[in-house]
Amino acid sequence: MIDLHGLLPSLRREVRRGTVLSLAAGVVALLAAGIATRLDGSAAMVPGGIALLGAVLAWFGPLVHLGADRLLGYLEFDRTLPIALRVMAAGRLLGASIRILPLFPALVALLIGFRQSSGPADVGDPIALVVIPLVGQVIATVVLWWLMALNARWSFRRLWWLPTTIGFLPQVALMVLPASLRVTVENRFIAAIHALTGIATGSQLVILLLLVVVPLLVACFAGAAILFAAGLARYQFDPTQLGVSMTKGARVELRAIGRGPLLAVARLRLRLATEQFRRELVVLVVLFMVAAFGPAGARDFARHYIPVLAALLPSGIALQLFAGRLTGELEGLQHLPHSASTVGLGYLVAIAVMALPGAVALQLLHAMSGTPPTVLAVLSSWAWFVAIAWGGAAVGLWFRRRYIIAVVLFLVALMLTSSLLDSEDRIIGGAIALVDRYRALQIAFGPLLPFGITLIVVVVGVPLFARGLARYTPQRA
Amino acid sequence: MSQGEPILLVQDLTVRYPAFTLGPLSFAIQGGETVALLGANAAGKTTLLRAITGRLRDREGRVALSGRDPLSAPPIWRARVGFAAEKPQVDGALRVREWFAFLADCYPSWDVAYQQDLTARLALDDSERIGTLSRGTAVKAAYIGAEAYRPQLLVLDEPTNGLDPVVRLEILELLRNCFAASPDRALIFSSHLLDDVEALCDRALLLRDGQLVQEIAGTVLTEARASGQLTTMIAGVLRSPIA
Repeated sequence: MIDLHGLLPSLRREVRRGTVLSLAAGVVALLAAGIATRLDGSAAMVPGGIALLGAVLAWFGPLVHLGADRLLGYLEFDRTLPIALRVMAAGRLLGASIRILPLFPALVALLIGFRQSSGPADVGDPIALVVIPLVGQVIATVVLWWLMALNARWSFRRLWWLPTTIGFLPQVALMVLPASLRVTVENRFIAAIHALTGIATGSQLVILLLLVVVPLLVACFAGAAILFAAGLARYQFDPTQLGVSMTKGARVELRAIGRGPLLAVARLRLRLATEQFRRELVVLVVLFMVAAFGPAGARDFARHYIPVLAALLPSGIALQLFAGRLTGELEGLQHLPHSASTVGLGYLVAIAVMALPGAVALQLLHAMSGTPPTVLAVLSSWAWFVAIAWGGAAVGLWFRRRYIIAVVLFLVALMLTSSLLDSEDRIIGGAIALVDRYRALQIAFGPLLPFGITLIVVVVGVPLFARGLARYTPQRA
Repeated sequence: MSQGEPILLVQDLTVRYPAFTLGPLSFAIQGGETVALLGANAAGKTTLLRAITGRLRDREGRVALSGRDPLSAPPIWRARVGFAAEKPQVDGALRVREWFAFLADCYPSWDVAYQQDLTARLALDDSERIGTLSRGTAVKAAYIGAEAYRPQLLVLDEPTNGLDPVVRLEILELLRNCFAASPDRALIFSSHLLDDVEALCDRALLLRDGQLVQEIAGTVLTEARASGQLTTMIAGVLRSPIA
């Protein structure tokens, strides 16, 4: 007999941690579904798209909280509770499943929008409108369970590799199979999709649920709970994991040079960045080897990773800021006897330096694809990386949780406005016009455009960064 | 700072939280003084120390450090105050000496020789990573980081907490020597260790539920300690109802 004592408290705690975001995402999704039925043309896709964005944020919530629990040592406390670890893990996974329920109405809204935009103005087959989002919800739930379980057991510090891997894993997995088996698997998969989309009656749906989905779900859940519990049992709090992960081996240390705070901050960030991304640099080299000499599927896999890693080199400095916000270390920078703008410019210099190897890596990748690199192309990529990383750092430091409400209200207002519009594609038309204008600018200014955009981001980013740093207050204060 | 002006002047300082209010508090600290802050847990000691250093932004009343409010003074004014809590506020991947090197670049008055002297006297291994420091070692590093540029006002939050007796005595002696010979500098620190308070301070401010309930001269503390009544006396004050 399994002792389920503690299941409900674990579940409740997990649900409570994401109540606000999940409720907000759910309300937005329901509104979106309602609004989408009143629209047609490509504008009908907009509410569903916005709702999906909120649902994806809610989906990441349990993972983010688990990561914070590992980092800050809260899992150690969990282990001391008089609750069986598997029960605690099960409660947490079930709670996470509840937190991501807004995905279902968001997918319904998206599907309604899709049908409205591609076909007649009626909503379409109601069973498919339920089945497809349900399948999506189930897949998202199972993926979340396993990511949480894997993360509890092995503690992935960074999940940058995740989206690309999820996208390419089936392709890479198929690649290693013999050709005949690969064809069989592909055919079975296509047949399963056809069977799923061909379901016409409620009874067939029930049979499918009982015979296939439910047993599969139970197995996935049990496996994830066992792995999660194993992670809890082995967990040890490591204070050195806060902030930049430490590597071993000789390296250049930071020394005083007496040239003022701007260079001091820049050198500090660069010193930490070189330590932070040592492993990623090794991975980058390996991926280049794979992209050059690997088999076709693995080559595609590597070519999708390389830009992510290249962008991460400068963006990692922005990520250091987020870690500093969490641990309170930003207060040390905040109270240096120099202006917050000077500190910000130090960060900018560090980002600009780290963007250079990123830009070179990207152009090297392009060269492997047959596009010869030029100095201008390298500088253009460099400018983009600086804009992205510095923009992320400034906005990330300036942003407050309470702004989320304003953003959600803005999106809801946008959806309500769109529902009042007639059937013409004004929203999508406006977005397309924006893209057209950007292309016109690209033609007019050529490779100078990224430099212009970077300049704007730098000019706007410095006061945002300074304001964010000046107003920073550690959570414990 | 003009002649006779206190290094720190606090007038009607109030900090409001949903479940707790600190103040209104008023007091002043003159140059050469060492002042202890005593109180039960959650009495508001750390909040007060953070408010006077400018770390706490949402407050009412007046705080003047060398005549100017740290919140509205130019950034370089911050070099007049040093604050050390339980650990250095910097990424744990840095070694202690790297952190000192960074601060040396940032503080115009940073004295490398003084930093090295303090490091040696406190037996601090500056090649260690900040993230791996024990509690006591982290306190030492934080203290040197706040003291090596000789701020006018040194603010220490439980400076001897977690230190072994040898290092504790060393820090107390350092602080005594330093502030006794510096009429243009002052020290304010919080502590629960009454022996340390008595050994170091010229006077003690007693906080209870966010209110300043009593001010006790260092000589009174010394007498109470000599008669074995120090703990009883302080506990009596902290227990008594606020008038």
